[in-house]
Amino acid sequence: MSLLQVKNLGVQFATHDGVVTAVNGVNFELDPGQTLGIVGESGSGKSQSVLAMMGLLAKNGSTTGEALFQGRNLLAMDAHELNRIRGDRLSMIFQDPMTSLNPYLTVERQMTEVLELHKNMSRGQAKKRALDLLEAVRIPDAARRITMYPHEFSGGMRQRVMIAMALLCEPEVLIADEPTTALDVTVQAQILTLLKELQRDFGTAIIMITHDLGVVAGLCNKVMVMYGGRVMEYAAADRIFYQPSHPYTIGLLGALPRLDHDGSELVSIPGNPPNMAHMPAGCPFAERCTHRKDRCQSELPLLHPASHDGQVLRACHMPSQELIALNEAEIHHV
Amino acid sequence: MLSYIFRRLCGAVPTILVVVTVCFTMLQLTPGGPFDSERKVSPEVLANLQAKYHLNEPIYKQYGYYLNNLLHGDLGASFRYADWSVNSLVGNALPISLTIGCTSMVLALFFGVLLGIVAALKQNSLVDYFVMFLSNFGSAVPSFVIGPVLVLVFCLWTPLLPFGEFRLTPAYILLPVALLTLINVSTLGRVMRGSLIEVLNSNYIRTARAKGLPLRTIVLRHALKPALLPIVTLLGPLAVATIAQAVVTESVFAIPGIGRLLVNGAINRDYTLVLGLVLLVAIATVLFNLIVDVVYALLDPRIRY
Repeated sequence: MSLLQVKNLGVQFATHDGVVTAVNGVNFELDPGQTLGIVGESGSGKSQSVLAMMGLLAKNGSTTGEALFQGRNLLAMDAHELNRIRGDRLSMIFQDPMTSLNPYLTVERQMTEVLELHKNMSRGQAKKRALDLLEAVRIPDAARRITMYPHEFSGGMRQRVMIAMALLCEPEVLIADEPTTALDVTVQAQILTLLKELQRDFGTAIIMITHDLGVVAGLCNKVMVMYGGRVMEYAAADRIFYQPSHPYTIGLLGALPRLDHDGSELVSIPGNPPNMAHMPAGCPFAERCTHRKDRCQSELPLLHPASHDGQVLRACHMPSQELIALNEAEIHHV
Repeated sequence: MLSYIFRRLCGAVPTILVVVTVCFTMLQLTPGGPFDSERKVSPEVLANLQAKYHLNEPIYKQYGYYLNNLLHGDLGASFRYADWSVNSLVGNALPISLTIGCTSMVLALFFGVLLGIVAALKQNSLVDYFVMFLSNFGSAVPSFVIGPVLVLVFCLWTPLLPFGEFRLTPAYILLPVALLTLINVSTLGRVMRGSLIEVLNSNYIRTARAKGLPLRTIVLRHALKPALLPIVTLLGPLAVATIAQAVVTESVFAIPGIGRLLVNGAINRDYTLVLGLVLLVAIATVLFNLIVDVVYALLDPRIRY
């Protein structure tokens, strides 16, 4: 049985303008030690789907579907039950390390409280364990720095502290919500390498949310591409990169700046993501899709196995073979 | 930290000197004098009085005498209350005002913070609406309306509490303390509610929730300190405002405190008395601000002096 099984997950927000659906019909599975990448533009619902699992949605948010962690539905748990799992078996690191640590508490207190809560450790034991973890994420002079406050750390160092904090209880799943977005490029690479090594050492499964396909390529086994709150394509990372079978995935890959092209202009997908309060009836991507047919605007394509290969799930009316052939011809042409 | 406090206290000396000078000048500019009354004083008596208080000498000399006395800790003699020095007038009134003021500040701080926390945690509940009503009521209805109504209800219609004279006992200070507390709770409660709601929406509280901490720990360990910062900032001005409120409350409840002394002093052109009281308020303001800054540094590790 998989570690985490998400079935038909939906997230809705009650707003003044009515109910807004941020996530719709998301399905995925995560095996121990595996890494899943969730990719998409801002507002595609990637963060909201994991926040829903952690019970961290805004007050006006509600969920549908199931998120089974070791067979137990996270979405149906009350706060007390959820509190015994999150931070312990399931932990999360966030996008902005500058604001995600409490500026009024020392790093030591913020780390030890996790162990005191979940592992019933004494303060002394907890501090020792916290020091071990800070060393594991390679914070120099950890014994001195543990007594400091977050503002005395740089951005990259704070994200290391966040990672150490999330791994204190050796969780089965680590959710990383754009952990490198707020960091310098060189620091990004260090953090990603660190995550990869920690995953090897601790055997933690990772859900990596990002809009940076480079991050996905280096880290993930499987990739889920989201758009407008729906899954567009879900496949092994290699397949996504070498044989994308959805127009949106192709568009995302086409928007990556490449070193071997000397064109000075950055490529982008024309248009904007749809307004979540007024979702189109058909495919959410139809408006920006270059392969759009009449059917795309009236009928929602469901996520189904690609015709040529059951390993790839995609939500598109256009047959995958046709699209792949077109795309490859275009690449050769360039 | 100690050197910071010392530097701040030294910096306060010129501030207070400016306050004294400005106030001294303004009092001299006000029409009328301490010995103008309906019953004409004979010219000889007036001349004697003026000579006694140096009023016949040039203003800069009077100013010099005043500063000289001040340096010796003497606020001068009252012009109006013969045989009384300003020092002893203030000495009699200060403990009364201080008791009422401090009691109400402590109570307001406790209830304001408590109600603010409950309201923030139970947003849009009955408790929340009650706190918001109380705070709007306390801010909107002036103390010179609430005060007499309290007297009417608790002293005249239902004679539960004594009224008309004053002694420094719980029964006498209950109503003025309640009034000042209500006014301050209305501000503190609203600010605490708003600031806690803001803190609870911050990223580091989300992190605390992601760690699986129970709500009580999140509020007490993670949210309370940052949420209290605006309260601390507010305490300085609020303490000064409470002194100003004393002018009204002490008149309403017939309390012989600082506030009433100030009103009477101003009406009587009792130069030394008014100057002495203004000086007292100035020193209090400087002290409150210093205390606020020190407490701020204790709460927020990012602030260093």
